[in-house]
Amino acid sequence: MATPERIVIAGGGVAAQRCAFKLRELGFDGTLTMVCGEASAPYDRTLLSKDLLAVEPPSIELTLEPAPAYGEAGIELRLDTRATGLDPHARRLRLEGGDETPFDKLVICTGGTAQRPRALVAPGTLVLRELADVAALRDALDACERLIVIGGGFIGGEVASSAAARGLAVTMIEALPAPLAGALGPEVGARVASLHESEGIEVLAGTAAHGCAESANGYEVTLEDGRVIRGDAVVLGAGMAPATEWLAGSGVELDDGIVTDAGCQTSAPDVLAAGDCARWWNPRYATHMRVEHWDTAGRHGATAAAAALGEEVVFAPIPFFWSDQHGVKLQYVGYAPTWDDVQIDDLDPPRSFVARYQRDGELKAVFAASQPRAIAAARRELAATERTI
Amino acid sequence: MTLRASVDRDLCIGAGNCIRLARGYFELDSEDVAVVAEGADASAEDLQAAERACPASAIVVENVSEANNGG
Repeated sequence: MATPERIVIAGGGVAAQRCAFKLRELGFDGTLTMVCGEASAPYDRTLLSKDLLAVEPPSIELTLEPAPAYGEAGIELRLDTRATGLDPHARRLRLEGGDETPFDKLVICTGGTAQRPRALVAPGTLVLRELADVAALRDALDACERLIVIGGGFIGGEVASSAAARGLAVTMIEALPAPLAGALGPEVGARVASLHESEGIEVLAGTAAHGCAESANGYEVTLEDGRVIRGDAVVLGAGMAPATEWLAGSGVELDDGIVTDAGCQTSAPDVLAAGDCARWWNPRYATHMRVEHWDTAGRHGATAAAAALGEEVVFAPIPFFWSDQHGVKLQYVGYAPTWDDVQIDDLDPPRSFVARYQRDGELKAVFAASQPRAIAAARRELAATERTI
Repeated sequence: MTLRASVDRDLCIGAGNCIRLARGYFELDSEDVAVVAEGADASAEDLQAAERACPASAIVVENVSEANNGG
């Protein structure tokens, strides 16, 4: 294959940013354009739900690279421009406003958007996915005494944690029997619930939020079991959906994400995908998987850069994610969609514990609170024992 | 307040967050492990941000002002 002359990256998150700079590092000297939907140059999304929600946020560098670095690397950064369509045969990417850009290789890293279940969206309901969401959330926290967080996942947990640190009364609503119970199971989820409760958060788990409406002095969230929860503001932490709707009709195979092989290649020639939007074949686990993990997304983007230049690459990471809640580092390493045994070592619960997930006597994943050394050991154990090709 | 950071090699996963948050203080070595750069200098706020944002909890920041006063 001839070396591409023009590479376009759709997206502006960590996968896109790492892909762009990796292309230059690998010696690509053709035209390189990043088409970013957001108005800000690529930034560290993980800080939005942590440092940025403090009463007085620390003055920290949010951008992944300072603005001049893009120009210096010959990367054209088109901000505030969403990709709206793709013609893979003509190799053209359609952009908001009707513009089009041609490419020899396209790397799609469009990430995801916050889910907004219709029944739970009332005027002023807040979500947190993009930098542009932060100002409204901060304003709400500043003005709020009673916050309702719908969803006990990582965003919900971190927002609730930040709000509790501000001294707000926080109610967390989680449909599953415990926060994070889907990924971690009810026993470990119960420890996460205890962690929230130990910091004064009211956790209402096992009953879904059914509706949300503005009331005379705030919001009312109705639960499935009929209870009504009142608060001054509502944050929806209902997960994200891969931002792929713009690819409908393009012929690129979609299945809860853009389907690729282990080398980032989609079903369309010269179109690759990486990051939160991609469902890729991970040969380590012999399955297609899509993860929404910051560290994985960055590495995926860098891998896609090599793939775009024709290198034979295999992206086979051990999934890893982390979260900071109530001053506790929560970490997960491995892949355990199912397990038949979970061994929990309660060191100083709920702030410190280790849970080992096993199947057929083999370690599959470890989740830990305040135990980074257990995670590092698990990472080595998993790398040594798990199959890969 | 004078702060000094160190990286635990056993914990570091080479995520690189520290390199960005405390520019010039950390660098990745040939094994993609963060190390403190020679002649490293960064503000207390940046070092603390790097410590907080390390996904692997590999960075430890210590206050060395006391030691300096004593010596």
